[in-house]
Amino acid sequence: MQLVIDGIPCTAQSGETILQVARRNHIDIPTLCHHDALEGVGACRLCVVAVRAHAEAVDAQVVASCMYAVKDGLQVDTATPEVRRLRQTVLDLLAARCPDAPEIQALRERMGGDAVDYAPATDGSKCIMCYRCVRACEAIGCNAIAAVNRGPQKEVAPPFFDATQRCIGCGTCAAICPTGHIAVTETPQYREIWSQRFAMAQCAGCGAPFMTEATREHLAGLGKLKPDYFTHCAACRQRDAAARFVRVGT
Amino acid sequence: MKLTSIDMLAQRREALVQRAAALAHEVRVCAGTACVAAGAGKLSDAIQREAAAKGLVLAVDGDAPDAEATVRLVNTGCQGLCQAGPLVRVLPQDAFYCGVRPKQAARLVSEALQNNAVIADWCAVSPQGQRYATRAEVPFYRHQQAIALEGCGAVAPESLDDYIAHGGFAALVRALEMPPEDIVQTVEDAGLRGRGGGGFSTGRKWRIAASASASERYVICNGDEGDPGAFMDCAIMEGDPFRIIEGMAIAARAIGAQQGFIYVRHEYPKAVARLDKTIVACRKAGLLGAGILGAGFDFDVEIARGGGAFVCGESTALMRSIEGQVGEPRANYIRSVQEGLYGQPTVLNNVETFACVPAIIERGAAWFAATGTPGSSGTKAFCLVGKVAHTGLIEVPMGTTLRQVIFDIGGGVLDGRPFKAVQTGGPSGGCLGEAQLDLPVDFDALTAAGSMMGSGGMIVMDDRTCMVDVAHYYLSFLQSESCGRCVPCREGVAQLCHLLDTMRRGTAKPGDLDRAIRLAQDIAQASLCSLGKSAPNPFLSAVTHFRAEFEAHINDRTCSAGVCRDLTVFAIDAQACTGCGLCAPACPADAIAGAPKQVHAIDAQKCTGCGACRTVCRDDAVRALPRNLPCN
Repeated sequence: MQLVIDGIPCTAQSGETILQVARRNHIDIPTLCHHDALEGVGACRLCVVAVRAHAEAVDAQVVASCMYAVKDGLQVDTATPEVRRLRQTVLDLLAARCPDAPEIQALRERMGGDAVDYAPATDGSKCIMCYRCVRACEAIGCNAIAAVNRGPQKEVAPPFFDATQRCIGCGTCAAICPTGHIAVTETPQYREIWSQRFAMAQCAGCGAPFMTEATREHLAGLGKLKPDYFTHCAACRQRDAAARFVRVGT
Repeated sequence: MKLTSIDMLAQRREALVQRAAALAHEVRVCAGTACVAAGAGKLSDAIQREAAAKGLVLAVDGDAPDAEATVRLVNTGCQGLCQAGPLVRVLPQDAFYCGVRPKQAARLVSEALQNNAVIADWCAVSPQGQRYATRAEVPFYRHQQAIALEGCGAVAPESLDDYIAHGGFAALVRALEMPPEDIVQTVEDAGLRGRGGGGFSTGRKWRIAASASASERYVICNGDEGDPGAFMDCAIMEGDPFRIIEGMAIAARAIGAQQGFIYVRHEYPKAVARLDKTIVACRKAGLLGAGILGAGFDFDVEIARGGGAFVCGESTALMRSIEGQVGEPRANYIRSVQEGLYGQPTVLNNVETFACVPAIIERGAAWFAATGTPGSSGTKAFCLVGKVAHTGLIEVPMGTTLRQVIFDIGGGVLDGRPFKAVQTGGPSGGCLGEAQLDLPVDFDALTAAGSMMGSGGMIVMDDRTCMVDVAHYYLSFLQSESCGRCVPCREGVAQLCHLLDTMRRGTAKPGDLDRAIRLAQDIAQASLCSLGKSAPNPFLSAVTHFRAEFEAHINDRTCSAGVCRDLTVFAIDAQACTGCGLCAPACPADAIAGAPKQVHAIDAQKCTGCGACRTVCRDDAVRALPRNLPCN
C-alpha cells in the first residue's frame, strides 16, 4: 500500500506501523519506549504524529506512530507545531519525573521547544516507565518483573518486591533500560540485580565469568543452542570458530 | 424445574400470574443500600411478626403463596428516593410511605393491609402541606419514566418466578423467534446508545461483532461502576439481576456468542452474590446453558470480579483483566468489537444498556425511539446526589433539562441555598453552571457543553462549593486511578493536580492557569486511552464556566466559597448570632467559645478552617472571610 509521510510517498505492507515505515524511509521520529526487538506498548507518547485518512481530509488525529498500523492513502505529518508541542510536554513531564536522568534532560534540550518546568520529583528515580525491561523479560520467557501499582506510584518490580525464582539474573533488563535505572553489581563471582545475587559461570576456555548459572540453565532448557554456548564465552567461541576456519583453509 | 420449551415458560407465567392475582395486597419494602442502612431489614421483619400475630398470612419475596396467603411482602431493590428511607409502597392502592420505622409495622398491618386504608399522615407531603395519596403523584416520581429501572424496586430480586411473573424472559422468547439480524436491526432502529458514557450506538456495535469472522464471540456486561456518586448499575444488579441476564442472552443470540461475562467490582459484594444466585437459578431453569428453552441456543454467563481499579471500567483494560492480565488499556486503533476478549469479536455493554434491551425487543424499536431526543432515544438513569433536597436514583426521558431534574425531581438545592453547579459524567465529565441549567440532558448536548453523559452520576453543588477544590478533587482521584501506562496521563494528571493544589493553597503564580490549561489540552491529545483523554475534563469544564473563581484564587488569593482553608478565615457575625450553641460542639478543634444565648466567637489560633460551624449554623452567622494573604 501507499502512504505519504511528510510529503514523501512511501510503500508499506499491511500490518506495519507508521514508525517502521518512516524509519525505513529515513524519516526521524523520536522514541523512548520503542525497541525494534520488542512489541510496541505506546507508553511514552514521544512518537506521536498527526494523521489524516487521505490527502483531502481536513481533520487530523494525533496517534502513537509505534502502534498505529498503516492504512492505504494515509497522510502522516511527523512535525506539525501541535505534534512538536506534545512531544515537548512529554519530555517536560519526564524531565520532572526523572531530574537525575541525563539522557532525558539531553533529549529535552535537543527538542529546543518552549519548555515548561513542572514540579520535579525528589525520589531520585530514573525510571520513565517505558516497559522495555518488562517486555524484554517477557520475551526471554522469564516474566520475573512487571509494572506494579497505579498512577504515579507505578513502578517495575519482581513479585511482591521480593526475590523470585523466575529471575535468572541475565541482566537484559538493565542492558535495555534507556536511563540506567536498574542497578547491577558485577564481580567475577556473582552478579547482583533486583536485590538478588546470582553465581557466575566461568568460561571453560579463558576462565572469565560470562553468564549466570541460572541463565545457563534457562538457556539450556530451551534446547535451541549448541552445547559450546553454555561452556564457553562469546570471545572464546569466536576464537574457536576462527581456528576451525583456518584448519579448513589449510 | 427445567423449562425445556417456550410453551413451558408461558404456562409457568400463567400459573404465577393467577396465583398473584389471588392476593389482596403487595407490600414493597425497599431493601436498597440506603434503606437497609435506615432500618429496612428490621422493618421487614417487624411487618412479618405483626402479620403473624394478627393472623395474616404473608408470601415473602418470590415464595409460592400458600392457599390462605392474602398479602405478598417483597424486599425489593432500590426504589429511588434514598434520602427518605425506609420506603414502603403498598399496592394496589399505590400508597407510598417514607421513613417507616419498625415500631410502625403494627399500624401498617392493621390499617393498610387489614382495613385497606391509605395511612394519610404517613404520605409524602409537599412544601405547601399537600399530602400525596399515591406514589405516582409525588413530584420525585411524577417526572420520571422507568425502562432500565422498571423492575428495580418492583420485583423480588432473587426470585426467578417473580421475574417471570412480571413478564421476564418474554423478550428472550421473542428474540429466539426472530432471525439474529432482526434483533440487531431492532436495537439499531431503537437508537439505543451505550449507557456507560461513550454513547456509541449499541445496534451498530452488535452489527460489527456479528459480521466479524470468528469461531468464538463474547458478550461482556460492564458492571465496574466507579464514578464517585454513581450507583445506578449497582441498583440494577442488586434489584433486578435477571433482566441483565436476559439482555445479555438477547445480545448473545444477536451476535452469535455462546459465552458471556459480567465484570463486577469486588466492592459490590451484594451484587456479586445476587448475580451468582441469578446465574445458578437460570441454569437450573434451562434459561442459561445448552439448549435454552429447547430452541437450539446455547449461552452461559460467568462472573468476573474486578479488584477495584477505576481503569478496569475502560473496555480494553476490563478485557485484559478478565484474561488475567494487568488491567491496562490498549490503544483504540484496534476495535474490541472486532478483536476483543482473547482476540475474538466482543460486545461490551454497560449494565443499564443491557437492562434496556428486553424492553426494546418486547415493545419494539418505535416504542423506545418515541421517548427522548432524536439523537438520544429512550431514558437515562441518574444518581442525584450532593447538595440536593431529594437524593436518590432516578430515570428520566432523554432531553429532560437539568433544571427539571434538579428542581422538579430533586426538589432544588438542599436547605434552599443558591445553586452553583452540577457535575455530570463522573471523572470524565465536567461541571456545568447556572447558565447551562436549561440544557436538555442527552449525549450530544452535554458533550457540546464540555461535560459528558458518563454513566449517570449527577452531583449538585451549592454556593459553598469551591470549583478549584472540586477540580482538584477529581484530578486527585484520576491521579491515583490512572493505570500509569502512558506519560501524559500518569505524569500529566499528577502535575495538573499539583498545579490545582497550589491554587487552593494560595501559592500559585500568575500564568499558572494558562500553564494548567495547556497541560490539560496536551493530556487530552496525547494520552493512550479514553480515560486519559477525558481526564482533564473536570478541570477544563470548570475553567470554562467558572474562570473568575480560578483567577481569584491565583491573583487575589481568595476563595469566595470559603472552602480552601489556606485562603479562608471563619468569623461569627455578632449581629446574626443568636447564641444557640450549635456551632461549639460541632467544632472538632474546640475553637468556639460562648455562653448560652450569648454571641459566640471563634479563636482564630485554634480554628482549622474546616467550616463545620458554618454548616450547622441556622442563622447564617458564621462568615467565611478572605485570609488576606499578600496579593500576587
